[in-house]
Amino acid sequence: MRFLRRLSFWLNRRRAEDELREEMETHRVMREAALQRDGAADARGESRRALGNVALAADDVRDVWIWPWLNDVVRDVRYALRILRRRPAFAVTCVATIAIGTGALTSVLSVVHAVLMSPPPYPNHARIVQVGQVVKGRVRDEVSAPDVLALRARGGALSEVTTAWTSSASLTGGALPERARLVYTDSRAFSILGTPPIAGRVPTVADEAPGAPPVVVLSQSLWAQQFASDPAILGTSLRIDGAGYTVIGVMPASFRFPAPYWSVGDLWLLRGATHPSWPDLRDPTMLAFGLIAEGAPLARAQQEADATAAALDARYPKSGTIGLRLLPYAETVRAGSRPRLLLILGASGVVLLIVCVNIVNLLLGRSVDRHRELAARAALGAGRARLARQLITETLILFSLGGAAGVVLAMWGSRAIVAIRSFSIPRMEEAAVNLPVAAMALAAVISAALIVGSVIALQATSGGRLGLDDAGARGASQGRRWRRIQRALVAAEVGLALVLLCGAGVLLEGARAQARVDPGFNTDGLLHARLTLPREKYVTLASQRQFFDRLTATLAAVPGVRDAGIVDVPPGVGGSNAPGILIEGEPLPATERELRSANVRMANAEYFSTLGLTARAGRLFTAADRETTQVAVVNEAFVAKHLSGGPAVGRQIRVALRGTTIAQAPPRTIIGVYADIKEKTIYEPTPPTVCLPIGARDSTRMAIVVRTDREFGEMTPAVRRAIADVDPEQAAFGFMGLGELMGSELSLNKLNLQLLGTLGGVALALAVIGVYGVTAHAVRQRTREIAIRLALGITPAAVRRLLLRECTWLIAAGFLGGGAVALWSAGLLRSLVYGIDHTSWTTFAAAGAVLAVTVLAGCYVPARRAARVDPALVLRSE
Amino acid sequence: MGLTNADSDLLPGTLELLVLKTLLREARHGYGIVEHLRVASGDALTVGESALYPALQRLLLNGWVTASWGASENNRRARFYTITASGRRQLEKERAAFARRVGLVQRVLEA
Repeated sequence: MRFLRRLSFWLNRRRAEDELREEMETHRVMREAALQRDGAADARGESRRALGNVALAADDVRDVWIWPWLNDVVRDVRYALRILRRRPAFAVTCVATIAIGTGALTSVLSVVHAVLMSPPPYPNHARIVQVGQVVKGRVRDEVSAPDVLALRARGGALSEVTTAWTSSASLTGGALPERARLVYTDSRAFSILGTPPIAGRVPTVADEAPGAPPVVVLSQSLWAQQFASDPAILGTSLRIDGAGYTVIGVMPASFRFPAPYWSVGDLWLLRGATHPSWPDLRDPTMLAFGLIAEGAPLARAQQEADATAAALDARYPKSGTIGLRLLPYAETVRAGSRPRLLLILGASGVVLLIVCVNIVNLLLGRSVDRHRELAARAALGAGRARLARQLITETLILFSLGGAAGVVLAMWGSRAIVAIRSFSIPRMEEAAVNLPVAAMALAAVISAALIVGSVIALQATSGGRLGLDDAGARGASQGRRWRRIQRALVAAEVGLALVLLCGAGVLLEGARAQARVDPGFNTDGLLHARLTLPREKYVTLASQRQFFDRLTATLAAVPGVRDAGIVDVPPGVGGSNAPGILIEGEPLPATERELRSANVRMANAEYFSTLGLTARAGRLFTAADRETTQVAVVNEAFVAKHLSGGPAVGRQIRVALRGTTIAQAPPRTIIGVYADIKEKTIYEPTPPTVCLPIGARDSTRMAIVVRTDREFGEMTPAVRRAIADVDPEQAAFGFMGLGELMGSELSLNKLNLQLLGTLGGVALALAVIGVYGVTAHAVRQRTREIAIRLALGITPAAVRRLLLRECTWLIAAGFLGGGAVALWSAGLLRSLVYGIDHTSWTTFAAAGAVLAVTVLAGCYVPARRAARVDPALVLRSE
Repeated sequence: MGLTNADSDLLPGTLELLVLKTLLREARHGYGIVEHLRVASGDALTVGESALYPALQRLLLNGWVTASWGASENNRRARFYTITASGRRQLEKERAAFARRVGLVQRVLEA
């Protein structure tokens, strides 16, 4: 309170001085009036003389508020520095410990700040909302064209609405044909987001007029990769899926529309929200973003949107009730990363907590030793508050030094976290130790310092008299209470370390469980890429098939390629694709919904050989197997589920591919069975699967699978060239190792694992330091007692046992508390990590054993030293 | 001069005690406090401004009084000081301590 008053005085010191002057002048005038009443000759002069020196009074007042206090602070700091210099090893230990704790916290904070606390990089971000449909209480990302038109017609608080949907197309005109990611939007998007282009201009309404020349806006990365950032590209024409577009501008890397944080588009094309050929339905087909009018509250815009939705419900009764929800742009993406980041933040907070406990212990140990000094100062007239402030100042200095070092450490730590490269967390690469991050970290450190300092000050000045005379006796009686607290703190520290170690153990177990999953084939050297044929160019299924036949042959001839195959959906891609099937001989059910279903994919013969799959029964595809031969290959899961495990080869099935009914589907003969592999991600069980030859249905979106001995980076351009050899306008994209694709969740957990593992290790080290410190201190304090015991004939081994037993109790107490928290937090972790569905006792036991052994080792060193005490020497010195 | 500029016939710290007592019944401005002290002491005690204002600031700093601007009896802008709850507690404490001290001195002198 007093500090705040001082601070406010200091901040308003100019006004305070003016007020004082005015107040004293008033005083003088009143005196003058009184003197006049009494009939004084020179009332004015006399009142002036009585007032004295106003400037001096002002000085005195300032002294009251500021000087003595500031003086004391300077003196405290000087004294504290002298004390710390006298025991450099102690100071360095404290500062290093604090630096580690602060470094960990700051590194994590830098990520949290970048991902969760920074607004999207758009000038208008606070007013941008995403519009979503609400169906049965669930918010969808997408809306329908009628929704957008109705919202636009209504106007009001939602002043603008733009739309966006993504696609991809082959882009020619650059270095190599490239698969480019398209965003179809309109000119409103550019005005809503407000980001200026880095070259050229953004589209305007004029570009959308009927008959206007089609225009395209490039992303900075595409501009750099394909056109070497050459400004001459502006005004030239690009061919996108065969059609010409004029380049009018380039957007900076921060422009990632429609996603707020990660990049989804290389090119932006203009396309209105409606098209005469589209059905007039409220089916969700596009993303919509709106701009709230300046000064209008979101709530009002939401009310208006509710009214619009109600009007639409009345107009489209068949669609049922569909609400419209406006979500702040920034909020739409953070939700996914939040729990994982907060988990890590919590863990780093625990580490800082352990650091504090350690520092308290170190300082407690020392302040008992310093009792004589404090008593002397008290005897010389230092008040209790003065001594307390001295001790708090010392702690503050330790924490400030450690905190500053920690922030510097974090600059490296933050980069190390980013280097883990968890793809699933958007904007992580922006993490850096900047001013707000450092400020948050230092605020945490200073609060910690104040708490720690208060504890120390309370201990040092509590318990009545601070007399010189009881300095010795204090060690026995007064010290006992504080030793109990000290030991409770160590037990707490052991418990906290256990929580972190168990957490790291659970994550490690998850990672191992994931590594153990067998995909069913060897993923080494399997490179995968996707490509999409333009349907206008490859109209017939036969032409599509032909393209892939030629591509397979070309790829096989590329040096470094051992095998190359084609499949529509490669393993590792999740999602559901399960058309109805009918086993020939079974009756046709009343509705299509009652049909059996299976995962259906299209593949060529080389796909199986590339993966190394062989037939378990019958044979797999050959080059002769065409759509016209009406054959199918199934996996063992299919045989088990749909054919009751009976013989499969020769059986006939019908598959209701998209657009056909089961009655129209031709019967296909099963020619072979292959072993189950992970058809989707490694987390999903193998579904019953039917493989059909390429061309059985639309085959424009396919994937290449290549087995190679060479580096993927080296193969990627070779594969691109092979594709260009077959069709110079055709591009491939999404080059990635198939193993990585299937286990991409692994990289997601890698972040948690590495961070929590590191934090657990730090916690373990700190717990050992803490236990060592307390035991060593206890031994030092009890030297006399131990000496007497030894003199009375107890063996050194018994002394060791005695001290170790006390340690064991500490550990046991810590485990009891920590174990409960660890169990609870393990449940929390399990929900975030794939592969662990029950609490594994071995993990906990292992974490506990590591901690117990290390901590006991920390006890053993001082215990052994105690047993070596020479009783004669000690007792003589007393 | 300076902080020790309290009237030499006052024990150190007594001025604050007297000011608190003065403010007990009503809020007063600086001149009012001086006048009250003079009258109450039978013209024996005249407190100089250079001692009064630092003392008032000390009281403000400790939160024992609060200050606010208002109009004086002859309609000048003047700063009025009001005693706070913690100021009242402090007054009681100081009063007791003062009585003890005086009693002590008295006892020694009469012994």
